[in-house]
Amino acid sequence: MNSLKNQRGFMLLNVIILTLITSFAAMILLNAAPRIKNPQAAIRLTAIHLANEKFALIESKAASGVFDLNCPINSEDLTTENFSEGNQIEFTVSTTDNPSGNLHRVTVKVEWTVEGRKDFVEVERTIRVVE
Amino acid sequence: MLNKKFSGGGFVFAEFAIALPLLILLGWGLATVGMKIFYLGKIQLADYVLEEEVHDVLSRLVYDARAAKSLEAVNGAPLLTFTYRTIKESNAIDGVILSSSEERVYVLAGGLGKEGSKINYKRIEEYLGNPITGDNYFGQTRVTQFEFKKFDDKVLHVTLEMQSEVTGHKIKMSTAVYMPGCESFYVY
Repeated sequence: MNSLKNQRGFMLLNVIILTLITSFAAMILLNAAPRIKNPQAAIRLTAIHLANEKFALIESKAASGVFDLNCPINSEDLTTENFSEGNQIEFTVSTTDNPSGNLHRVTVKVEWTVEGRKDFVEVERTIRVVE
Repeated sequence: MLNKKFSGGGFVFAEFAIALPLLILLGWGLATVGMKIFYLGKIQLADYVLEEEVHDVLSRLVYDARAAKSLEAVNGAPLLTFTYRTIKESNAIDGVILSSSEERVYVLAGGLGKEGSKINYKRIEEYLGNPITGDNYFGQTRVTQFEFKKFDDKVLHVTLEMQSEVTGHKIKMSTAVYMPGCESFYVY
């Protein structure tokens, strides 16, 4: 007992150093974990380009005087494997229209699900239908 | 005499015997985590470069296409040429009207899927390559697919797939663009 009393400073120092090292390791691990989820941005970009494809088709029809929201997108573009580790991610495209005269405010919504988590982008463009 | 001088020395030894393996274990763990973070960082940067390059080429292409007067795309090359016509009145007295055209070309250098293949962006008069993909410090990329299709009347559909040479990851994006002022549209 007597000898332990003399080592108090050493024990305290040891506890402090070990705690610091352990918390440092835990901090690094916690910071490293969210890095794996980041490529979600790539899917969002793919979805935005897909929405633009839909707009291009609607605009082309509108220039010839037909307003058609159901023009079909290239079926290959409705799935993607960008950073999905081999899983196919499917996009669902829905289009809504808010007309005023021959101007149509068209909203294209692209939705997808990754590991049970739903996500979407919404892009809006005003399209004039030639009369 | 000896016993009195070194009383409690056994505790220091025991303490050291326990702490040293623990310290070695922690140090080893930290080194592993540190290496993992560097590795993840490297992959993340390479992925980011890849994503950015695909997006950059597509958005430039869409921007150029919107104002083009004519388009010629060759899938085999692959080569994409937009032409813009600029008409200049050179001499008011003679009434001579000169028309000069300006072209913007996207051309693949190095062959599809080959190491270091990149997309060059240039004006036709200049034969110097101006690569807009590849040669990035954070990750070399290659082009594995660059395809053009004619959709509706004046709609160009582009598919671009690129692969990172650092991670091997592929990213593919497709888009379409409507070209309101397009007068001639050829895809071979």
